[in-house]
Amino acid sequence: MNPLIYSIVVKFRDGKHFNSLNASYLFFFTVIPLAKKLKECGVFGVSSDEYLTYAMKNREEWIARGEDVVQNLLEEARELYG
Amino acid sequence: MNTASRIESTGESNKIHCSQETADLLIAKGRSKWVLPREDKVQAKGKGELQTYWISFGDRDSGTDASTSSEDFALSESSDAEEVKMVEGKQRKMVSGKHARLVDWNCEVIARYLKQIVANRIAAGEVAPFSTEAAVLKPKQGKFVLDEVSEIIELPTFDSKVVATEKEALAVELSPGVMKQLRDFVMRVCLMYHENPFHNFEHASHVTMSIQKLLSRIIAPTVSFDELDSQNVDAMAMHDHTYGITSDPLTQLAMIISGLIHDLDHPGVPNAQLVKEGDNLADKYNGVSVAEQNSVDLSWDLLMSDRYHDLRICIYGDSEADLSRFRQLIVNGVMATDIVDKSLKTLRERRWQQAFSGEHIEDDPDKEVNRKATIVLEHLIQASDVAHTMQHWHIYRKWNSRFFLECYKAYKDGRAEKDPSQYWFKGEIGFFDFYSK
Repeated sequence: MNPLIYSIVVKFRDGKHFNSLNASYLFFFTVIPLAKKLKECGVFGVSSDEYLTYAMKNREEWIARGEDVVQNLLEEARELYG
Repeated sequence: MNTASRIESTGESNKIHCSQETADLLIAKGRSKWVLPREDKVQAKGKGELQTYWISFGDRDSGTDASTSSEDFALSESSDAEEVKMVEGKQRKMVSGKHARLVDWNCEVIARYLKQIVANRIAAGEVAPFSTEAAVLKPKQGKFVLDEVSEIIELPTFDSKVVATEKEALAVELSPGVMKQLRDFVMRVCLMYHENPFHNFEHASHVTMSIQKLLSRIIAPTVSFDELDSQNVDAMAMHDHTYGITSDPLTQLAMIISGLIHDLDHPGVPNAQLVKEGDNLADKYNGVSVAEQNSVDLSWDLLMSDRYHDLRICIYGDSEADLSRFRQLIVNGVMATDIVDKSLKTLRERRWQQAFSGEHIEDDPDKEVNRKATIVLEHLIQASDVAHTMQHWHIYRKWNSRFFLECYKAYKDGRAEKDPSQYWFKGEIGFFDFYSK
């Protein structure tokens, strides 16, 4: 496990860091396991495949474009809230 | 296919012709000025007369373009003609055209499940108006919503006599009084949401949409989509395969309503911040699942009020058992959306293991099925709460952007420790990578 991920996981396990880590982390930490569970329980047909596929694609897309996206978000946020 | 074909063949040169559905999507995105209803209706095979639209960009300068921010959308929406006003005490609130359309959409979805509930009652031999007094369930004083979370919710066993077909359900007409109360209820729920960038009524509607989509796509492994279309599905097989979820419209309705109310009155900051600030709500709920418990309490109080008597008769009549199950499903459903609380998360993980690992076998097979149904329903709403991350990149980006803005606003207001831009990129990848293994 790389150091960044390790530090995040330790903080998460210690339960200390929710406020500053923020729910944005939590979005993704739940995403793929949840999509896998929808598929695993076998109830939701093609939707669970669709959800899992999009989750994986979005992860890849985020790695490729996430830094630029955050930069744009920050500019937009500064315009709105200073 | 028929609709697309007829729209294409009845088009005119140099004009963009679109369906009602496309027009609705454009209107929902604040492009109502682009859409002009076609005066003559189009005939489509098997569908009758269709209202179609011409798309015109003549007012582009006064509208929005692809780079328009969500705030601009809100401005263009509020200029729409449709506005709904409600008076609550001395407070007058308005619902914008955009929210009014979402209210309508939610009402349509809920009405569909209500019709199925009524159709099942008729199939069971009950005669309308079923009952004259709706049961009322008021939570005990001093008891927390969190304490009501149940590991196993008992769903009805399969009875072929009380499963009405979709056709029979469609034939049911809800009374104008019930429809009026339903719209009033959804409207008030809408007004009880704050205008946060992310945790707002649009998010609630998006979650509801995902729940509805997942519920509507539940299929048994042996059933093809052709069979689904021809309604030759073996209801018994569906019941068994879906742990009883498909044959109980009350369960499905409870999930839809859970989605609709799950973030009601959300303050726009996490529970941990409310605790840190010593907020009254944090004190009220002992700092645990604060926003979620508050959402259940407020919305349940609303639904139990006298003004929704007819609506409640339609949902569960005078059956205290149905009312109790309806409440239990809403409690479990909304509390499942607290993905931060460590003890709740650990508990859910254990329950999932018990249900699906094969290591834990119940003596009572019905209990085993209900255990699976309960945890599947909780994961259904949990996944729907983050459904935007499991949908097309553009949808993910839209909601990711809104959530970032909400966090940034909290930071600027002194209600968050860090500027989200410091951790947003790496944090998402970190958890993605770790938990996908």
